[in-house]
Amino acid sequence: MPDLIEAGDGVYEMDVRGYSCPYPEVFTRNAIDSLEPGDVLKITLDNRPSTETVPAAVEEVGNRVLGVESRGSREWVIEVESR
Amino acid sequence: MGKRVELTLSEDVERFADRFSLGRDNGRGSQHFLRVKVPRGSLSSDKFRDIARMAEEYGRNGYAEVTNRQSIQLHWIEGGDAMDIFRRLDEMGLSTDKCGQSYPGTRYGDVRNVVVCPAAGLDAEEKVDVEGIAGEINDFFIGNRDFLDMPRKFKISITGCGIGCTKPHIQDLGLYPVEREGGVGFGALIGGSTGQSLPGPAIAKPLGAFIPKDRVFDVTRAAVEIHRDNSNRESKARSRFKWLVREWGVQRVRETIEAKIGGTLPDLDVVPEVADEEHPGIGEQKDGRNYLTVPLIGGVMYSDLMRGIASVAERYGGGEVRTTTHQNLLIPNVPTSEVGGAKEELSRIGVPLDRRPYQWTAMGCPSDFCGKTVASSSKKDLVRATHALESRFGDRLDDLDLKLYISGCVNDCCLASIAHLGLKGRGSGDSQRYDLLLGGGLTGEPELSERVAEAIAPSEIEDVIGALVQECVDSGYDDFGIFFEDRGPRELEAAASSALGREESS
Ligand code: SF4
Repeated sequence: MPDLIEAGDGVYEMDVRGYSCPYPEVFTRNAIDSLEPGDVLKITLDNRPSTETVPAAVEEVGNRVLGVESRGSREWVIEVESR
Repeated sequence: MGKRVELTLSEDVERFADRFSLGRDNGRGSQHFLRVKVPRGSLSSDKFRDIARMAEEYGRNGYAEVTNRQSIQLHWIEGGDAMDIFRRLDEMGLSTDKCGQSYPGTRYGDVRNVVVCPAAGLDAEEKVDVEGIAGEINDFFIGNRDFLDMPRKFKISITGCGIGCTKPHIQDLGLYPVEREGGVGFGALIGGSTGQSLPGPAIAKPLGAFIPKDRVFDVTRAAVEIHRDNSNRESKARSRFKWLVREWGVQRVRETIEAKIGGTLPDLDVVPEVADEEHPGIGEQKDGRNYLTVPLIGGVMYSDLMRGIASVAERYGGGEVRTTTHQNLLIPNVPTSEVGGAKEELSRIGVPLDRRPYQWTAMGCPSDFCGKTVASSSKKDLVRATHALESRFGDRLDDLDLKLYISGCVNDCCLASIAHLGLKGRGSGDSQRYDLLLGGGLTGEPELSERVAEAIAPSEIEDVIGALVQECVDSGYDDFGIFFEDRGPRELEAAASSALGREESS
């Protein structure tokens, strides 16, 4: 199972590579629950559909998506701010 | 490395990650599909009813589909409901496909639901009962971490019947029964697939080896391991087993299997004579009872119908419902004295058993959900085509063998590449168009279908299919495959062009 890593200054990272739908979404919802408002979470993933479903899930519960960035052709990093 | 904060996940997530996932939909407002693996195609009527309830609670309007790999697929599934759904399926002893499809790379391929003859253990004519072997194979691979990160998916089918209902020619590994002195065993076809990945649609090749019953599991495991360890991990287009079979050749695959199982297999030159047939209508069981195959069009059903069928299975059969390889259902164990009552009840709920041959086998994919088609859908176009055929020909179709398969795109989930008369979508969104493919088939000399017309609009399907079937039945044929063989692609291309009002291509 992925861990939430505190990178410092209210920035957290989570690596969910290897998980297909719906797990990146499930882990992200769960991770956000343990963050303080204003904290930032960077999620690394390799399941393409999650680049759409994770931002949608994050926004659904009132958080902000700061960006979805591709790293090469097979990985993405989604940056989210907890509200 | 920063400080670790543990997620407060329930234990279930860890257990579920290997056995459950959602697939990605992209149409009709559906974000995800749920493809429930139905092991051996068999469910108790209670579980069948539970799935109907889930289709109501988590999907929309109780909509569900039987796939041609005998799974049951629901749509409009929300990611937020996934854990509840997985918990329920887990309690029912079920799982889902892993749907590693969405990864851009050559990873996370799993063993798909093993396709099994739906009349296994029942059919009076079957050569060998494969239920036990199929169960063993399925149980071994489901959630097995050693086989969840293969270069791509791996498809297996096994049948003991003589009509190749499990389509062994288009599987990565298709097992079919072979009678020999000393007992029944299996032959295997390897490296088949209708999809576009390289080297393109391919009919599986005979392994050329006789597999005794007690070695089937070992051979299957060895074949899957060969795929896992040797198929291409650089290029997704080359990562299906069919590419490896082509690269290595059948002999090397066979020798590697034999090395893995620690023994040579006797040579075999028997291939399936008949394949890709359905077990239609009422079938006689070896114990004197009967199984009833319940026709669905394109595998589509709603929860009310599912409940009705579950009740028929309980009242007249043994409380079991099976899924077939042509998107139908099958109710086993109906005593002869109860067949009349069951038939009547099935008619009353909208699924009468008096269908024509082509209606038992006709298939269409859920292209509208996967988003490859927008304006129409393969299932709707299948309905359109069957209505057109019915109103134009009616009873004249009673004796016609016609495999009509429609896929919304080149991935060809619904097997237009092996159809007598197939439509394969060109994936052009709003202006959906199909290529018309003719002359495929797995009986006799297995053949892929050939393209005879391009870019047909859904509204033109009626005319072009109508014209070809007209010519076929007017000429006295009862098998569209033989009609194609006799007439040849050029003549039928001309007929199709004329029906479409197009200039003939030179
Ligand atoms: S054939 Fe294409 S359109 Fe049809 S279900 Fe498969 S991927 Fe979707």
